Amino acid sequence: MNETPQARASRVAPRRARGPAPTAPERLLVALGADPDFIDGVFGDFAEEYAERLTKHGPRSAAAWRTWELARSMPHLLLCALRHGGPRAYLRIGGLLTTIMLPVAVVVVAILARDGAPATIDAGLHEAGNGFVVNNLGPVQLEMRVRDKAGHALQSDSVRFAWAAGSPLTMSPSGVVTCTERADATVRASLGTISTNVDVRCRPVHEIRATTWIDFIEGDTTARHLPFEALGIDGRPVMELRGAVRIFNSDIAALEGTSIRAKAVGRTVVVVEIGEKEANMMVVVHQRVQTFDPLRDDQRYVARDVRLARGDTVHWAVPNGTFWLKYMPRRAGEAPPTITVVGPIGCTPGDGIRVRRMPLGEFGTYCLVHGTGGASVMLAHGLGGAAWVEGTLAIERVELR
Amino acid sequence: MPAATLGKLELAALLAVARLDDEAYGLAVRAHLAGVTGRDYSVGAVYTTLQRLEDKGLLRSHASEPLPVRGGRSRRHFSVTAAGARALREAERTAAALWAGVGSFTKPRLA
Repeated sequence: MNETPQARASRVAPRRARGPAPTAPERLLVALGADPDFIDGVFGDFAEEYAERLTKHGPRSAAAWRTWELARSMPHLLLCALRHGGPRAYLRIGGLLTTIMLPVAVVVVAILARDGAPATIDAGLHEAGNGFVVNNLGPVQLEMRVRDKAGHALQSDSVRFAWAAGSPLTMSPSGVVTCTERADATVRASLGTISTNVDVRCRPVHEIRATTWIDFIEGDTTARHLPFEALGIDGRPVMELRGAVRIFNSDIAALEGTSIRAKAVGRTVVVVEIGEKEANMMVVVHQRVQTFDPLRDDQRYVARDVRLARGDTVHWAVPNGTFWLKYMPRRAGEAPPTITVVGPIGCTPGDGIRVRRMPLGEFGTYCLVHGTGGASVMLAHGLGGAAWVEGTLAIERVELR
Repeated sequence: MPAATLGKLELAALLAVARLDDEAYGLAVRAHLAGVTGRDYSVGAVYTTLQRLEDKGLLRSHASEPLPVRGGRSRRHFSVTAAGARALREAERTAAALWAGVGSFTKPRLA
């Protein structure tokens, strides 16, 4: 097709100077990479049609048309500008959106996160009822939970406390309580115009008694209560406790509240913390074996089933090295067989092989086998007593040779 | 060189430019499309289509002198290039081939 003379003249003529100042949408589109002549043509059409509509339909209708037309045209024009502008245009629009959206996001987050005035005050969900159990012997801060109407947690530093009823209590206005003995009191916690009564149950713990070991045999997956008890100043057990229980290696055993369940052969430690007191318990999961000798180096926690009829005696060779020898009856409270160590072996002297701080009804001793072996352990069930003695003899090696 | 593939709006815009000849600028093309198709395409949609056709080499454009009625802006006049004319002929042939034999279906059936 042939070009018109006007077109040719226009093509060869230098780019004309812009007439009107560009509007904000024009500047945006050009900044994103749109061809200025193209944009000039588009907005010229807007102006021309607007002028037509102004004459025919009046200013309100013309303005409404221009607004609507601009709104539905902008997506097309933005895409066109991006296509022409290439990667730099995408970077520019990304920056532009960030510039617009970031302050909007900040404002929205600020509005959502805005804290209101204190509306509720309580002792917190972790406490039983609206009160505190104090197991500490030393001073401890009562921590109230303060929330606004929207449920946002607020600072609780300004809460003030006053004794209201019950046993006398050593307490500061800021809520630092010292429980020197068992006591039950009610205190009033206030913050501005809101206040609440909270119970304070002083149950100071003087000692945590726990067994040294918790022994499991591989395959025994029943949960057991952690064998500890907290004692008060008067030596009596304290039943209301607040504290924490931790396990060092949850691959060996898992905590379920104050119970524990074996998972895999090995050894780990459980720590119980109540008030200022702490107790450690070793958890050993033994591998069930048919013989104690020989053992591989990696077999550090092993156990053999014991089943003796009246008059039975067995000798089992034990490996060289240092280990704990432990006997666990099948049922709690059942008497153990007579256990004697024979050969070049030395065990902790004492009351048979009973060692303190074993769980009730369990027996253990610390043994060392010297030299080149030949040591054994003898288990015997006398002619009296129960028809059968059943349990497990375990070895926990503490040093390898 | 094979003719460029045309979308529906591209074909309509290209035909409108061919039809309007010297008067083919954005506003006139938009008005023509509205009259022929009954659809009110936005200014942005029409202009981006025209520019896409120019990018494909099917249209060329030039700016007029600034006009008072346009607030001192120019009109952008479009005209069909030789490639654009080939694309139109190809589109016509394709449409004719597609319609060939379809006439009998459009006749009313006798009960």
